[in-house]
Amino acid sequence: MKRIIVFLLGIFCICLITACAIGRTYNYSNAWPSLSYSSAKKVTIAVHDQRNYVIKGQKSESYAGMLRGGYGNPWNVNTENNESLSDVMANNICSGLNNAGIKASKVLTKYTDSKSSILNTMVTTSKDNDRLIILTILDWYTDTYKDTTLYAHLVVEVYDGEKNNISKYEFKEERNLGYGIPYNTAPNAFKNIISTIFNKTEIKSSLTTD
Amino acid sequence: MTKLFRISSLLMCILFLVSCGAHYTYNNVKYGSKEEALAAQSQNQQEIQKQIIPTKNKYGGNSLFLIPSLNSIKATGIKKTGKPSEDLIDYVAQISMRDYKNTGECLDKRHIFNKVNIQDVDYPIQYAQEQKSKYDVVIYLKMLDPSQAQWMMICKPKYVERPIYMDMSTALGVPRIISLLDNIEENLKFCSER
Repeated sequence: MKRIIVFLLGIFCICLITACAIGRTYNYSNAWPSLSYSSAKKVTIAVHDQRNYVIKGQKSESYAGMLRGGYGNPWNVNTENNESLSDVMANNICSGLNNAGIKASKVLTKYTDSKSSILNTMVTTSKDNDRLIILTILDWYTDTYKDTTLYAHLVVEVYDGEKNNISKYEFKEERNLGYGIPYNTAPNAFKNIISTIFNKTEIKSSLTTD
Repeated sequence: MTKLFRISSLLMCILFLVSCGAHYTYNNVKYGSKEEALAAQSQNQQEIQKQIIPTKNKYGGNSLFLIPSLNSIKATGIKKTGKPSEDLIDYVAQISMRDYKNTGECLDKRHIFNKVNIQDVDYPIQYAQEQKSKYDVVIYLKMLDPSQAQWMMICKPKYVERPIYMDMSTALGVPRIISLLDNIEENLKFCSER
């Protein structure tokens, strides 16, 4: 009887512990931005992860944030399936543009790529581009203890098909995502922030006018 | 010792129940399985379709009716709160997609057009633009996010896009679908020069 009790309590404790912080992921797929306009321009998008802690090798490219335990001890949270954050973001933005009626394709990048090599790849991959968009991630992670704070620093640059820069928009914010683990609030914040950036007049006009 | 055993057994049972308590709601009725809920939806849709009668103002021609794919609905058509399971998201997306498809089937039963081609695609707005020259009329669901969904129509020869409205003051089901079909007929008056 004692063995059974110890066994049951053991299982219960394991369930409790593993339910806390280990192996959590945030599903950023399907967080398509919502654009308030369409365009006949053909667009290629690349997302370039230039987060300091990724470049230094302290975090992986799939790093999405941290959950803190009772003593504030942090546990890493990654994207679902450990896909790199830049790939997930590129897929979402590409889908969001296509969903708004803009013909968009994407080029996947590594944090080790240079901006000029990315631009060259974008031009050679799809030769009749009207616009090239590079979104650079300088910061993107959530920190959850009781509340969650999102640290976001993104730069969007739009180029014409000849690689001439025609517009730039920088977004930097620490956003409180409220109480609890941001399973939905983090992807929703991404959707909201990217929608805000792409609906800004300077980005909108560079994607819709010559 | 027995008390301790009871407590630990109770905790295990609670954990088991909490993790296995999924249910599926359709028309405010809870079903124990996804299949039962989807079967109830099929039956309801059959009842709706039985009540659609052919129009007296046939327009003719070939039409394309575009609905968002499951993938597209999951991204743009579902408002998520908490941490819904993939299974639940999939269920809601299926229910929505089948409702959109049913709207297309009702349009077909109304016999406004000679033919209604129903297709599900990832990007209805883009696909509607690509296909508009091949059909007399293209009807599609413009869905940017759960709060911004609107049926739209493009017709020859000018390809002007017009919104199609549903009378939201009417009851869910047949009256609301009929209000949408009525509005399609109303909109067709603006594209009569084929």
